Amino acid sequence: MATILKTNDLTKKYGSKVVVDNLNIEIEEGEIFGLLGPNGAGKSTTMNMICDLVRPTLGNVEFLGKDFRKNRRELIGYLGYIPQELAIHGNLKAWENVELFTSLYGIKGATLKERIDEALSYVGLSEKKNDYARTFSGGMKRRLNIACAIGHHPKMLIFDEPTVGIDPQSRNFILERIKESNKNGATVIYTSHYMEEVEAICTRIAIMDNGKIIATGTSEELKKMVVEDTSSITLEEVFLTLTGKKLRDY
Amino acid sequence: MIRYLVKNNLKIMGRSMTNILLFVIAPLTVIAVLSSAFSALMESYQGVDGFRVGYRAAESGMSQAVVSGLKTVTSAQNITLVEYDEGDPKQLVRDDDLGGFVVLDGDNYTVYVNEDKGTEAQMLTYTLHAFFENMGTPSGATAESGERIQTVTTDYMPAIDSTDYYGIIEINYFGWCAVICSAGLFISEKKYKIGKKLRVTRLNELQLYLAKFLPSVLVVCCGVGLAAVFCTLIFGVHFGNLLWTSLIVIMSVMAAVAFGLMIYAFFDSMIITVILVFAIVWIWGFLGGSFETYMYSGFSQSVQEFSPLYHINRCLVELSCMGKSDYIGSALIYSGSMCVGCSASAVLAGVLRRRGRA
Ligand SMILES: Nc1ncnc2c1ncn2[C@@H]1O[C@H](COP(=O)(O)OP(=O)(O)OP(=O)(O)O)[C@@H](O)[C@H]1O
Ligand SMILES: [Mg+2]
Repeated sequence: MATILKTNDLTKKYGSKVVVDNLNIEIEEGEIFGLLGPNGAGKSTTMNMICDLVRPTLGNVEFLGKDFRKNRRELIGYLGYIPQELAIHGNLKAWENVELFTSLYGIKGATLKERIDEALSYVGLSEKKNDYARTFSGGMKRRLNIACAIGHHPKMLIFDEPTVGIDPQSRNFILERIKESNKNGATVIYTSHYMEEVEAICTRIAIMDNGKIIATGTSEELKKMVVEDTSSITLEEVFLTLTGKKLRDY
Repeated sequence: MIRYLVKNNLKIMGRSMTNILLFVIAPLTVIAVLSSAFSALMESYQGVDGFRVGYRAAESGMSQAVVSGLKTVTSAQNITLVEYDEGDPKQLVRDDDLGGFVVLDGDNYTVYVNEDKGTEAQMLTYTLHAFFENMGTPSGATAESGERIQTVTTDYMPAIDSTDYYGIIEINYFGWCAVICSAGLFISEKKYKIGKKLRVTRLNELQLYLAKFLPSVLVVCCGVGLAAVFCTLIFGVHFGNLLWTSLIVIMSVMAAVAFGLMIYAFFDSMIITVILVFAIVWIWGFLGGSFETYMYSGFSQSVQEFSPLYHINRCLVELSCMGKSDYIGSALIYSGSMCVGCSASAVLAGVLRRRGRA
């Protein structure tokens, strides 16, 4: 499989604080790549640098074989970014939110209408199409947030903690949808600190702590790093063993 | 590409109704208050009820003919001409408490003014000047004088009604606080961190700017238009030449929106923007006659002309009461260059901010 995204020595410093430290990851086409890490590990910062929202202090991102920043206008349309925050207008109806964001990739007219319906039905919000986003529950807002980022059929989807604060049903629904997108050909980067989720959907997992990747592999491989008998250990225990038990976000 | 974004931004602004209502109701209230509070003052400016001017005309037929024309003109300005055959004009002005004295002698006329009565003196000289200017030489003013009187009267500096004055000026003033109309959108974008996501698209900073600028201008123009219609209906405010007036109002709204967006681009905070814009616009309004008539203003002309509102106010008011204005050019140039300059600064600030996310 071909490499779709690659970071070269990606580094971000805020003042003297190194938030992302010399990150080198390679993501293959068709993967669901999980980025696991405690609060403040630098996951969102990494995602933001990949999307050119935050300028790296050092290093660069290659996407589809090209330097992302230098070919931004061409490449950005292949990217679907679902931010950790809910980026939807409360005073717009569900379909208007999707229209707003999808149109920004140059989709218009009848195609735009189709894509809006498609995206909304994809996240199970077809019936709530004409409701204001502010009236939505947390789970519905999360789903709408996703719908806003997929209308332009991106090759690569970047989910930054898409399941924060929602019930198991919504979470399960979202995970199923991510898997389906992946089956339809999208490569996925998925960040979270929920082990089960990552274990359930990701084909490869990287554990990040203090801005560094401390381990990469399938969940089996990660478990093997800690113990011989992988049946007796959960990914969470692996995570805690690798990252330590000290509280983050101090 | 920003068509849909503009459309949806417009919806968001339109849906924060309170801002827009405020925008229409606030000027109406202020107009009602100011125009009644200042109507007495404005009338005293007009100061035309029964002021008398003495005159003496040479026996020649020409001067007599001019007198009859002049009488019609002055009476339209509420100036009564009283004939004095003899006596020293200066003495007469003082003794009889006249607004001034005119001596007509063939092709020449001499005006004596009462220095204690500045407004009257000004009015008299202006009226006479306008009259004789239009007549060519006094001797030419016989048969056609009736027709020319119209020009003379309208040429006179605004003897404007206080309702008209404040109606026009407050609407313009609130137009400058346009940023309030966009507040709904800015707050929503900020609250939901939309700005970040808009940057993961093909849009460049100029497009992002236009996506805010265009709907804001549209909403503010509608608000101002609505306020103007209400003003006309409720207070009977007269607006001058509709075409020029609309053009100037639209230009001034565009400048105001660009100005607001620039401040917002600099500080990235709605609260700071509102405070700053309101403060600056208040100062401009203060200089430009938004709270007092500019005719009374104690500021020097050059200080007043620093305020874009002065040019726009003056232009709109003169259009209303005279049908034309020498300030059309400066109002358009001032607001036009503000619009371009502020827009460019706002876009630049966006570019730098994007760069600066180091
Ligand atoms: N603009 C900024 N200025 C200074 N420090 C920042 C800035 N943005 C992020 N940081 C710091 O960078 C670190 C990493 O933040 P980041 O949001 O990437 O973490 P994360 O892994 O996404 O955490 P979470 O799981 O809580 O979302 C944090 O310690 C944060 O305080
Ligand atoms: Mg995060």
